[in-house]
Formats: sequence, structure tokens, C-alpha cells
Amino acid sequence: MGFLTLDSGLPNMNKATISVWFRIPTAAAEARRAESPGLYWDFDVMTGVVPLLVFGDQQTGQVYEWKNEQVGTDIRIDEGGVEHPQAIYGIVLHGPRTAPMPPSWIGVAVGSTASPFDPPSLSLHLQTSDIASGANLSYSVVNYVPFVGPSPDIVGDPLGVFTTQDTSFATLAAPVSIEGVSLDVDLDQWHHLLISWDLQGGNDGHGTTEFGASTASSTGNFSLLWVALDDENKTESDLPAYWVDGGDPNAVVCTEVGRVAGGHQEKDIHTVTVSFSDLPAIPLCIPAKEEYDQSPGVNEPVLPATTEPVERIEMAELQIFCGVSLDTSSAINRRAFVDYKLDENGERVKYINSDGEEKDVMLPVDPDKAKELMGRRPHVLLHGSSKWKEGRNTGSLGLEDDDAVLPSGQFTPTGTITPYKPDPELGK
Amino acid sequence: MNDVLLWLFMHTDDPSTLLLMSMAVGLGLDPIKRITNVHWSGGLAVEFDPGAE
Repeated sequence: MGFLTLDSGLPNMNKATISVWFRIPTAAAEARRAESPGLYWDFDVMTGVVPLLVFGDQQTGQVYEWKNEQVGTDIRIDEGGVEHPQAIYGIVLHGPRTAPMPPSWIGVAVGSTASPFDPPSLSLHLQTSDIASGANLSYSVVNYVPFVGPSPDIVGDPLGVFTTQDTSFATLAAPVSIEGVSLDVDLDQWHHLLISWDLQGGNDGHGTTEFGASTASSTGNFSLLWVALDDENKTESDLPAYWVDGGDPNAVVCTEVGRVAGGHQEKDIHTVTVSFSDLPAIPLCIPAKEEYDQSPGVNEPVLPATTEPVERIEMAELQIFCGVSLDTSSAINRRAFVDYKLDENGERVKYINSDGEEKDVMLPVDPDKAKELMGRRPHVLLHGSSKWKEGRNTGSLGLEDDDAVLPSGQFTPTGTITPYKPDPELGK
Repeated sequence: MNDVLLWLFMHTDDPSTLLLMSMAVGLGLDPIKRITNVHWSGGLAVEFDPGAE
């Protein structure tokens, strides 16, 4: 099992900019699909995902269930004095039970063997440690006083008195995440990902009595996400997270806020709000560590208690800048990470992609260009096959400005990491 | 001389290469400029082996 571990992790990932080249062989996708049961009920720990980067440790989350079950018995008495019992059902809250939660990851969602993502898609999961508060998101029956008495009908709607409680606390029991799946990622080809985010302190949203309201009109604080895949900048619903529909093209919110913002209610308006503390980022593993815990769950399909997500994939040229975001819509910014391949006449070299479109062949850029653009060295820089093999981080966490090695910022390599050809290049 | 240095750089990322490059710059050969033109196209990628150790 080959992987790299940076035990000391990353500082301040509430803002970050990451550039990485990756290539997912078909065999890796098929292996991961075979381990995926498809739709799953508990926390998803990279189910059906081939990870590229994983950061933060696994937290323990709380899981509640709402079950429709008998809460009492009405007894209706007909004109002849005969009693007709009627079982009364209601939604009852059960729990909590605990379950291991996922860390944060950037990866490629490949789906399951039965329902493969074809082509696969970029997968982002930013797992905070922050629990949201909210109201009117769910209810359960806590008491039912049955009806006993004469009734003209021997069966019908409940005639007793329900006592319910707002169970929003249970809906929001686990720390929130900014997550999503989008953008085609063809297998067996090199891709370049330039991704950046700024969590901006927190998210909040609410429902509304208006019909057809935009998500943006019902969203307060939001986060920002920028993505360029293979040098194409992506915005709005192409982003791998809940986009704030109708708002800033890069505005996203955590899933818990995204589900309520702009929703219609006649009363008891849904609300969710969360403030972000530091995004957990200790340790950093590339592409992932050997094994993660996962909850088997209580519904079919159940999962094994652990998952081993590392597959035979190829990676190159990783740069991680912590505490700084980057607008990927700027070609000037993208050129600091990826640039055109030119022929001997200075003309751009072309290739035909899987959709039959003519595209420019593009290549990695000397990391000094990114340093110049960002005004600083990356915290993590893995540049060149030998650095990857040995886990030698020549970014600022691993190397002082005078080239003195910082042991705490070096990766620990585990297992087999071997040089790979061809080198990263769009179209190969 | 310059072609040899370029070949070395393209096919290794050993620290001694950097020393050779420094020497080349000192000799006015400027291999870095030429290498920039080919966008570091040698010896960049790795493969992670998922097999048991």
C-alpha cells in the first residue's frame, strides 16, 4: 500500500489553493466501484471515491433515525356500544448512535459497479468540526393522548392529542460539510486541478413563504469556491458543492444550509446557521492513508467496518498554499500552474479529447512561477518523481528559506511509490 | 555541453543535476531558459501501489 503521510498536517485550511496533476486508470476505478454498495445511509467515508488528497482525522458523528411507529390506540365506540380500537402511528425519533465520519478529501467519484459514474466526476468533501443550529427542520412525536369515546365513524384520522418536538437538533447533530460531485474526469488520462476555497467564517440560510425565491435571496453568509479543471474555469452549478443559485458565481454553502435556503414553507420557516472554526487538517495523506473506519449502518446495504481507498493511481506536481485563495477565472493565475505546449514554430500543440473536440496540449509549469504569483512558497511542494518517492516536501513546511530541512514538515512514505511515465500532459 | 546538461536534467532530478546546472549558468550556458521552454517535462510523476506490503 503506497501512500505519503504528513503527520503534522496543514495550517489554516479555511482558505487554501491547491494545484495537482492526477491520472486515474480504469482498473483503479473498477476496483473502487467493486467496494461500493451504491446508495448508503450513514456517513459516507469515500464510498465510491478514488481519493487524491485526504486531510483531517476522522471525527465521531451522531446519527439519529426517525421511524414511523405506533404511538397509541384510539378506541371508538359505535352506536351499539362496541369498542373499535385503532392503532395510531407517528414519526418517532431514535438515537443517537455514533458513527465514524469522513475526513476532508479531494478525489474522483467513480460510483458503484451497479451504478458507475461514467465518466467519473470530481469529488470534494470539506469536513468541518462545526455543528449548525437550526429550527423547524424536522419533528417527532413525543406523546400521544389517545381518544376514547363515541364516534360516528369506526375508523378515521387520529382523534387524540399529539405532542411533538422540533428535532432540528437531531437533523444537525453532526458537523457540517461543504461537499459535492461535478465535472467529468476521463479515466486513463492526465488531468490538472486548480482548486481554491475561502470558507469566510460561516454559512446561514432559511426557507421562505414566497414561491420561486432564489437560493441567493434566502442565504446570508456563504463560502467561496474556485475550480479550474484542465485549465477550464468552472462556476455556479458546475462547482462540486451547493452553489448559491442566483448569487455570486463562486458562492457555495454547506449541504445543511443548501438544503433549506430558498425552500418554501407556509409557516414554521426552516433556518440553519453555522460558524466555522479551523478546518481540521491533521494529518495530510496522499492519496489517503491505508484504512479508514466506516459505519456499517443499520439499513441495507451495510458496509464493512473499514475501507481501504488507495488504488493504483498516478500523481504529479502538488502545490498546497494554506491561508490564501486564488481566483481561477483569471488566465494569468492559471498560467502560473499550467501552460501551453508549443511546437518548434511556437505554435500550440493540439489533441482531440473524448468528446471529439480539439484542445490545447498543456503542461506543468516551473513552480517558481506560482511562487512569484502567490508572493510566497507553497506550504507543500512535491516536485519531481524522487521527491514524491521519498516524501521530500520542498515547500515552506519542509524547507527553510536557506534550504535547511524541517523534519516536521516532511512526509513519511509508506509502501511502494514508483516513477511513472508519461509525465503529466493534457491529452496523454 | 549544453545538450548534455539538458539531457541530464530531463532524465534525472538528482541534486547533483542542480549542481551541474549551476555550473552551466556560471559558464553562461543558461540551461534553465531552455528547460523552461519544455516545461519540466522529465521525471515528474509517480504511481501509488495499492498492493499489500
